[in-house]
Amino acid sequence: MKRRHFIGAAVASAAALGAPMLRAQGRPRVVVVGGGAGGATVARYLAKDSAGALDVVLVEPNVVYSSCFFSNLTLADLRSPESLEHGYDRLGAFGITLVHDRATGVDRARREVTLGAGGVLAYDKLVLAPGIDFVPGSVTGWSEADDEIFPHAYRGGAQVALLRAQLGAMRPGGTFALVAPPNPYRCPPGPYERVSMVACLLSRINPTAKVLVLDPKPSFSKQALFEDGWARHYPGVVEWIGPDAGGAAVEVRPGVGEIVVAGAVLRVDVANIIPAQKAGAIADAAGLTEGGWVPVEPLALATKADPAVHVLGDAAAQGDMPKSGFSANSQAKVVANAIRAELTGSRAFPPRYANTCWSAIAPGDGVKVGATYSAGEGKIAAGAGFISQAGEAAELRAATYAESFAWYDAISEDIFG
Amino acid sequence: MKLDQVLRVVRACVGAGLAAACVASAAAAQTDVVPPEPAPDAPSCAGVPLAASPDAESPLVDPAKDLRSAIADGRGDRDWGEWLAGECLACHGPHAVAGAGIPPLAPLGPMAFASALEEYRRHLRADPGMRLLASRLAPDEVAALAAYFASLPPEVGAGRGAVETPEGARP
Ligand SMILES: Cc1cc2nc3c(=O)[nH]c(=O)nc-3n(C[C@H](O)[C@H](O)[C@H](O)COP(=O)(O)OP(=O)(O)OC[C@H]3O[C@@H](n4cnc5c(N)ncnc54)[C@H](O)[C@@H]3O)c2cc1C
Repeated sequence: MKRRHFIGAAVASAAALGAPMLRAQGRPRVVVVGGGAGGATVARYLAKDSAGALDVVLVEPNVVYSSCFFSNLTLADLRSPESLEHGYDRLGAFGITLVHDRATGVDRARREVTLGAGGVLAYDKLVLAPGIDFVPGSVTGWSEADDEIFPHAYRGGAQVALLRAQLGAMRPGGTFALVAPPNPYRCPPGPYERVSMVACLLSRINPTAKVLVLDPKPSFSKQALFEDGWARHYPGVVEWIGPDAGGAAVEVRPGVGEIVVAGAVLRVDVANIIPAQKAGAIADAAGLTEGGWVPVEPLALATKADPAVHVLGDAAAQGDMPKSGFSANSQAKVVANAIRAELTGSRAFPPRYANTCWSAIAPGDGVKVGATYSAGEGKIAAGAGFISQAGEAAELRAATYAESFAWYDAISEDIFG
Repeated sequence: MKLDQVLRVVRACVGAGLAAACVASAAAAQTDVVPPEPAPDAPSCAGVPLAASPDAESPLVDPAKDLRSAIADGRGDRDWGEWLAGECLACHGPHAVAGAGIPPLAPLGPMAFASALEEYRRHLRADPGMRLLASRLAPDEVAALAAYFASLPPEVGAGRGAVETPEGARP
């Protein structure tokens, strides 16, 4: 997967998409805001399956998407950052119109999206898949302005590279601290896979360093598997401090490299602050959020407030599915099928959802958790599930690890073409 | 390198405990796997052993009779199958031929495909994720999926990756 750039012809200016003109030509228009795991999949499936019957416009400010999935592996040098970069040129080839801009507002009465560069995009259906933003003030002493000192590294790309560089430059025997987020947040096992990958790197380049996890949650995803893995691969390195021991009420001091835990001032050499999260800001601007997230119907993720707007991926409060790239991709296929059926009269199929989250504990030691989901009463409801077990054979863990690499390639192609 | 070659290399070096050599050979085929630098004092974080799916070795079981005849008579609903296949492609890839680590499914004939799902449903194959997905599929959904995959142009499947056929597999 190489860095790719847009083919100029596929990129339209907002003015050329002036609403009344194109809609007068009769093709219903779907505007998708956010070209990540959820939005790019929706756009691709809509364009691919409708074969020109729909005008699909994808609004995304970045020309390269750096995936969060597998970004933890770059911290242990098990993946290169470049291998996680995806361009949008192949989506253009499906007939999708790409608009490289940020959506700044939604006028739901007029069915128009406002763009940062000025201009509006009219829609018949709007899909918002903006991912996450951070809740200001959720970690005492930290704001996004401090992310060059204490990175969050939770939206991929440069922040992850910064964290890797800081870890590489850490003094021998130093302390790395990770402040974990409260529920709900993007990728439930993500912070703990990160702890594993940081411990893996440090065991190689800085074997006397310590890893400290400060957690507001009394328990976390795949906890038994991670704790077992940390004890086997990184004995004595990782210390987890839950809410009972002061993990819930920390104060961070980026300026002086300190974290205050239960009244004690700790000196930290590298700190990764993963704050509380909420839906990407455009969801709020559209007046669709409740408690930070967007409530949606379980059948096709139409918002409860406005059936002309669908919200999927991390931004949606849909019920039981974890906020993952896999979930966003699964939801996107349901949304694309429902929107196409509604706008073109194509066949509508009953929704079905699934998720699997792989995590790397060490090279060749992978675990996974997964479940099927269906449209339940007022929410997407979990069905049966599975999870890796502590004490599994090393061959099985190696196979699970290899499977995650194959999954990464497969889903990336399913999302970006 | 073809998939079967990769798997052979990977099996050989995992068997011999030669993780680092394994990385080098496997990386040649899977270009974006980055081989880490060797680190003798931290063996667990120094290598990236890859392993083949244990499910490549499973026996073959016949799908139920009704399903067999639905497939043989081509009665599967292809368009429904295309929709259902979205769930497969998230892991097996849009061309249904994932890299080493997840068995390819495009090159399977419709009957072998249905057999594999039946084996997962009966827990004769190991993968817990596939057991779950297979047990959610009704027979007409399996027939629909088989019809869809059978309709894919041949160049999508067969040429792009070698098929891991279980012992005694029928064509
Ligand atoms: C460390 C880490 C590890 C992870 N590992 C995994 C994993 O192994 N497996 C897995 O399935 N998931 C994993 N995830 C979770 C996964 O990354 C997210 O759940 C997934 O990306 C959500 O998809 P999305 O489409 O909702 O948001 P995103 O993928 O974040 O996409 C949102 C897009 O919207 C754009 N956008 C935002 N606002 C606007 C606007 N106003 N106008 C236009 N565009 C906008 C952004 O630029 C972005 O491209 C991981 C996450 C992290 C942080």
